[in-house]
Amino acid sequence: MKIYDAVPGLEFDEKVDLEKSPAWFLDATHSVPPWTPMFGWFWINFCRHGMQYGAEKLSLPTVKGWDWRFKDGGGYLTLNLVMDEGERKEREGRFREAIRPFIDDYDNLWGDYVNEMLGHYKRLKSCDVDTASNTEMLANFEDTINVCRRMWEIHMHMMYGVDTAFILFENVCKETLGIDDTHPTFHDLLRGFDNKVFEVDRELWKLSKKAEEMGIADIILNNKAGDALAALKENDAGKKWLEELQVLLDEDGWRMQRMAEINLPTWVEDPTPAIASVKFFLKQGGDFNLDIEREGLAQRREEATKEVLEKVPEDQRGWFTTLLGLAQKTGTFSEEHNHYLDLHTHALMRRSCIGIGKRLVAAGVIDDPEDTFFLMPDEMRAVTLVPDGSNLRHIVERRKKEWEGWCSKENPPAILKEGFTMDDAMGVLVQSNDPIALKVVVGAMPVPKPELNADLYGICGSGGVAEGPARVIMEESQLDEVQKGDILVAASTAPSWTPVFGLLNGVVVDRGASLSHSAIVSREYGIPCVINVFEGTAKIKTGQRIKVDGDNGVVYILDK
Amino acid sequence: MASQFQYILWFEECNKSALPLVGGKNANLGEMVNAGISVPPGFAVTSKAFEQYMDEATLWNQVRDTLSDVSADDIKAVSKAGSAIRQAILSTPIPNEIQREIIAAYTSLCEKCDVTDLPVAVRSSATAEDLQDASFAGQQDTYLWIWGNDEVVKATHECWASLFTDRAITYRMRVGFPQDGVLISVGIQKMVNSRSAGVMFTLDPVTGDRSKITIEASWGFGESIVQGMVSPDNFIIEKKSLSIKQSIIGQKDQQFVAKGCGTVVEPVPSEQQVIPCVSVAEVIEIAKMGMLIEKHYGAPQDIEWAIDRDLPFPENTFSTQSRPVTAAGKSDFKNGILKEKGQSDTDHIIDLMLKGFSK
Repeated sequence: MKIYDAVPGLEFDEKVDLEKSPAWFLDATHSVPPWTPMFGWFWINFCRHGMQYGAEKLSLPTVKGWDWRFKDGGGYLTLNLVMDEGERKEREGRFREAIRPFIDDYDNLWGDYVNEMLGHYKRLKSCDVDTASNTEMLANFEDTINVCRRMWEIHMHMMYGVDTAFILFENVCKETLGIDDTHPTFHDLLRGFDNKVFEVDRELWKLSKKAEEMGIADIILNNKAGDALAALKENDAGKKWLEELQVLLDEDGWRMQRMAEINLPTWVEDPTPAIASVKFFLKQGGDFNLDIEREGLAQRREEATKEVLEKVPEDQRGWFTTLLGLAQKTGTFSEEHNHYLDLHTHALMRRSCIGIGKRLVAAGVIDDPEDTFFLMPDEMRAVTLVPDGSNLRHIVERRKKEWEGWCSKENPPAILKEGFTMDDAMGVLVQSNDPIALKVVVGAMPVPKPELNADLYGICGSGGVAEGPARVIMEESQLDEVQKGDILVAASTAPSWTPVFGLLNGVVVDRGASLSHSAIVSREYGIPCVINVFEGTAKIKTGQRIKVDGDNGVVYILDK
Repeated sequence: MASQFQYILWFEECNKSALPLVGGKNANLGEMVNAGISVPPGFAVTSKAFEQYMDEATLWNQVRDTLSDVSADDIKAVSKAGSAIRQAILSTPIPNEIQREIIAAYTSLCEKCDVTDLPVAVRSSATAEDLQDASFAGQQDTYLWIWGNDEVVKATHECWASLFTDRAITYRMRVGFPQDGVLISVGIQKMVNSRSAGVMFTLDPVTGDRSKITIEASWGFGESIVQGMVSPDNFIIEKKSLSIKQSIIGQKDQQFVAKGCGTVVEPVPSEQQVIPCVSVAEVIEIAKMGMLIEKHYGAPQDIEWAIDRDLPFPENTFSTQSRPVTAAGKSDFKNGILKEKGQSDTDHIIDLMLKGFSK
């Protein structure tokens, strides 16, 4: 039996693909470490589809979304530029109408999408993966594929729209007020809003208070999160508390530990990460500090808004205020969409794959339900209805081996045609005016400032200066090690990391942009954050004292 | 240093919790001093002294009697009653023990500054919370360039009487605040004998860059800069490293100097006109003070500062006034970004988005 590529049709082919585009960028935010083949298949197919759908639905004048390829577990992307001037003009005309709902009716637009997705999720969950027939299970899998496709359509339609507004607002601020998106006043204008992710965190904080009341706080505090779970099960109060936690997780625990991967348990399956969050709150003690921070931030936002509006000519304040309002939605959207879109869909992807996987194990097709992550949907389709007599172990074995190979090396940050430099490639990116490329995935490139004599140069994600011991975290399971006052150093951060920020003095990430998770959440917690330092996790070691200068976007290693 | 009867509190001893005793202005000065911000030295004559004086001379009865039938709407009656009360206060001498305390404190202030008959400013400092916000509160009497024991006591006495100006009486009637329980404190503070002075922004007012401090400085009192009479020295300091990033020395040919009961303009000797009017150490000290003030108020500040001739460095570096800077950065709404009349907000935003794409 011939074994197909991991993502048939979209495997990177140097010869063909470098002809199509001379520069392909690694999506380091999502595909480091490398993806399992099944997840890669979902992402490469449907994120790609969603971006093209979103760019087309909005008729963005300069870009028709991105093309994606899969290479050694990495997602590589390039931009579909609109080259023809006439076509641009045509697209501009359609854009004029397509963007209107974002400005006039944002809340309903997003609200309707959220409701639509919650409906899909409810339908997918109505299939009981333990008792469903093989036919029902395959139907659930096909439905999951369709829901994933739809999720990416919504995701990218929204994201292109809000990021376009954000970029415009930043440009207006730059031109008229001389402040860009790294300026503290700019941050003040946009922060201090609640969102769904913070809401879930608040519920977890309440559970930390409850744990204190029930006298089981020490069990959580004195154990690693995983051991705490076992210890809580041994204890009557602990059991009762876990039941309450499960009620919360059944509703809001449909999230992955790693945002873009399905090979780790969801919070519903394994509450360990939720317990780790509770532990962070217990370590901090006191009130839910995001709420306290938010009060101050909301007040500063009002002051900054007033301050800025005074500078806006009176007859221009109407549109300026509308645009500011839309830009303010961007931060909230950036956090919330992960909860309602990616994380929830990925959790249900895992659920469906494992549901089928259990049947395949029972029928002797594979050894472990999670082996399905090393199959392709077509292979799943071939064996789900009648698994009897099939054996896919050789496929799983080979792909797993391949995947382990991907994980043992690093994917290059870009694949370039001969004679094409990284600078050329960045030029194309900027020329695309692609809002997502500029503000989420690639970010601004750091400019070294020799006069500061810093060890790492990045850009300002959140202002302020802080010093403390570095804590280099490569994966979520290590978060448990974070101590109060640490400075977090990571490749990037994900929504489930948010509660940790309450313990931190500062944040340094290898990759990110002003609308990436680490920057947004740092601003909400009022701690300095430097993004896009590229080599933070390579150069900094846990325990070293470092100084994060958010204002200047640089990091100093104090003891080398 | 605290006096036996708590009639006197030095600024160092004042804070928010001392507000009923020293009033808003003095409490604020105390808060600043305690935050490490240098202000001209001085002390508060507490509301306790005023209360003791009013009680001893049974003046409260007179306040009550005089105002019992007066309505806030009757301007003439208020004016007549106010004048009678102020007259009654001014003709009742301050008890000796309070006078002695004020003079002792003033003497020790003179010694501290090494100046006999040190010129001071004598200001009333309202203690009633609601009065502090009233716009006229600042109009309660302030006496500048007062020196000598008798004059200081007399100015204090006049501040006390200013509690019963017509406007103050009317205001209390309107807001229903009792006339016979209201107390006042007085602040006595060294007049700055300014060698050099100027203004400072705790950001770059041109770019809005908050990592910088800008200082303008000239000889004598700060009025020469405020009134734009000289081209001042100009310094840009980086906050983080506290180092001077740029200094431009201006032509400072005139200065305000203290003379009698005020300041007069004099020419600056030619050899001094184009040399810096502040040393590097002084610039850094001023910048440090700016950062403390910004931190204290939690927002960028526009600060008036002065360097005093009478005190040694660094005690001589004072903040004389500060206010928040409004809006960081320039405002430059020019053609291309302006919405035209008759166009909807949404259409304008879309136009701007399209312009962004075609860049």
